[in-house]
This record gives sequence, structure tokens and C-alpha cells, in this order.
Amino acid sequence: MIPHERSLVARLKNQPFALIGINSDHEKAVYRTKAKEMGVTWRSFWNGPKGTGGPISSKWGVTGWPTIYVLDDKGVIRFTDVRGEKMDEAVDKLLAEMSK
Amino acid sequence: MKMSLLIAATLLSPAFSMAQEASEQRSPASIVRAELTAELQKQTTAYRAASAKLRASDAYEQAKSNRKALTDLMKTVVRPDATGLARKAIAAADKCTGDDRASLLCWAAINARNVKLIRDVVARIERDHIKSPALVELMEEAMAVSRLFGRDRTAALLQKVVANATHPETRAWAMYWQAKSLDRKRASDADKAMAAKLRAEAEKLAAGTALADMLVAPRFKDEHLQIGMVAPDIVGEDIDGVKFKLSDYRGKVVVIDFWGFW
Repeated sequence: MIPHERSLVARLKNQPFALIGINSDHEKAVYRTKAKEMGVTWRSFWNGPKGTGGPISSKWGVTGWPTIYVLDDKGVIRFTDVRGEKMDEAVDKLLAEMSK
Repeated sequence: MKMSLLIAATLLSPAFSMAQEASEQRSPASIVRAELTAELQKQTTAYRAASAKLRASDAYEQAKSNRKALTDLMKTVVRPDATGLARKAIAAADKCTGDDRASLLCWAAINARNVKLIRDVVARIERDHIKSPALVELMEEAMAVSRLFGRDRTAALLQKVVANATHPETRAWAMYWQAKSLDRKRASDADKAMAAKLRAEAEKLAAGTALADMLVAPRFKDEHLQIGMVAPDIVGEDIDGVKFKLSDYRGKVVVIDFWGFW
């Protein structure tokens, strides 16, 4: 999971693209150690000390992890729950739309 | 360990609580709680690290095929002493009163790993503190607590809270869990209707809290999170406490990823 996202972020680093996490670990310390270990380069909102019960995931009704939304450059939700290759395809499609 | 012993010990001295009242708005009980929580977290982190280290060791590889050897080996890792810390919370609770006491007792009930101790503490909470706002935490964790406390006992506790508690969010959590247990896959129509009623009531009682958001979420998803809809903004902080918004990234393709290392 994380290796895939890391390579997606690296591949698109000069493109109008951002991966935004909603990190739902209980402890920031866990995040910091692991993020360093696994080379997490992207930015995350912190979902607070309640972890998966935090305010952002509660509001968005997230019950499965990970949950993915892909937005186009206008902020419109275009794809949900795309993982692995499907995530790349979705992002590439939206980037291609932008350059039309 | 040292810190929480120290704080728990200081709390027992009357001079400490007077000094606290004079200089701090934080109650001694909340300080003890924070210390106990930090200590438990520290022990849990140490336990996880030690287990991981053991699993990567040669001794573990060798013991792998032999169940007893493996169990014996895993026993050498010191587990967090959650029940010991819960006992400290109870000792500290005995030295204070009212919501402070209730809050420490709830901490003990949530974190203890000893069934008898949990039962005793919950009985005390039911008897003396049913109206305390401190119960909200115990109610929030009610399903986790029920694993050791038992399903029937938990159901009875929820019932008592709904009937007798006065703190709105506390009652809302109890109703939320009641609705959850009613609303199973093969629930009768009557049970489903009852669950819906409980959720509606809980939503009102918990207005403005994360619980209300959770209850509203199915509707929120239908109304705001479908393909083709503009995603609602997220305003929050990153891991370093820097404020930012999802809408800062307008003009870019964005993948939103709810994730964690756990």
C-alpha cells in the first residue's frame, strides 16, 4: 500500500497532483517513526487522538480502511475506492483531462 | 512507572490537592489520569517493540514449530500492567470525590484487564456516579469494555444509563450502542424501528459532537460524497499541527486517502 502510494507521488511530483492522507493513528509518535521508516512524503490531516473514531472520518462516515476518494482539479469526486493500478489509472485520466 | 507512582503518591497527600487548587485549574484527578494514560501507552509501546524484536530473533525461528516453546518464549516479554495501573486509578479515585472520582473509576473500568475488577468498578460507577458527565468516556468505550465485562452486563449497564443518566452525550452513546445491537442483519422490523428511534434521539442529544457526525454520516454520504459531487472541504491540521484545508489543493488532482499505520 504505502510503497505503491510512494511511487505514485514520486512519479507525479512535477504534475498538478497531490495525495492527501487522513492519518488515523492514535499516536503521532507512531506516525512519525513509521513515516520515516517507510518514506511517507505526502501530507496528512491528523484525525486526532481517537484514531479511527476521529472527527474527519466520523463526518465522512468512513468505516473501512483505507478509504479512497479521487477528486479532479475542480474538487469534484470522480472515483472512489480505487487502489493499486486503478488509482494510477484514475489519476492519469484526470490529469489527461486537464491538459486537453 | 516512576512518574505515575510519584503522582499517585502525591495525590494522596492533602497538601498536594490544596496546592493544586491554588495554582492550577486542572484537577489532580485529570493529572493522574494523564499520567496513567501516558504510562500505559509507554508500556504498550515497549511491549510492542519487544514482541517485534523477539519475532525477528533466531530463538523465535527455532521455537516456531513447537507451540509450547513458542508460548513460553512469548511469556518472557513483559506485558503492559494495565490492571495494576487501573488499581492505581482506583486508589486515586478513593482520595477524591464527585466527577473526579467518577472519571478515575471510568479510566480503571476501560483499561483494566481483570474481569472481577471491572465488575466491581462498574458496580460502583452505577451506584454512585450514574449522573456524572465523566461517564461519557466509559459509554464511548462500552463495546470494547464489553469484551471482558460481558454482553449481558453491558446491555444492563446501557439500560441503566439511558434510564438514569442526565448528561446528554453520555445517554446518546448508550443509545447508540443499544441501536447497534438491535440493528443486526436479521433484525425484526420492530427492532429496526426501535434502533432508528434510538439513533434519532441520540443524534439530538449528541448535537455538535463526533458521535452526532457519525450518526449523520450515512445521510452526509448520500448528500455530499457521491461521484459527481464537489467534495466537502476538510479543515484541519497536519501531523505537525500546521493548519490547512483540502480546498488549498483546488486546481490539482487529489487523492484523499483515509489511512493509518496502526
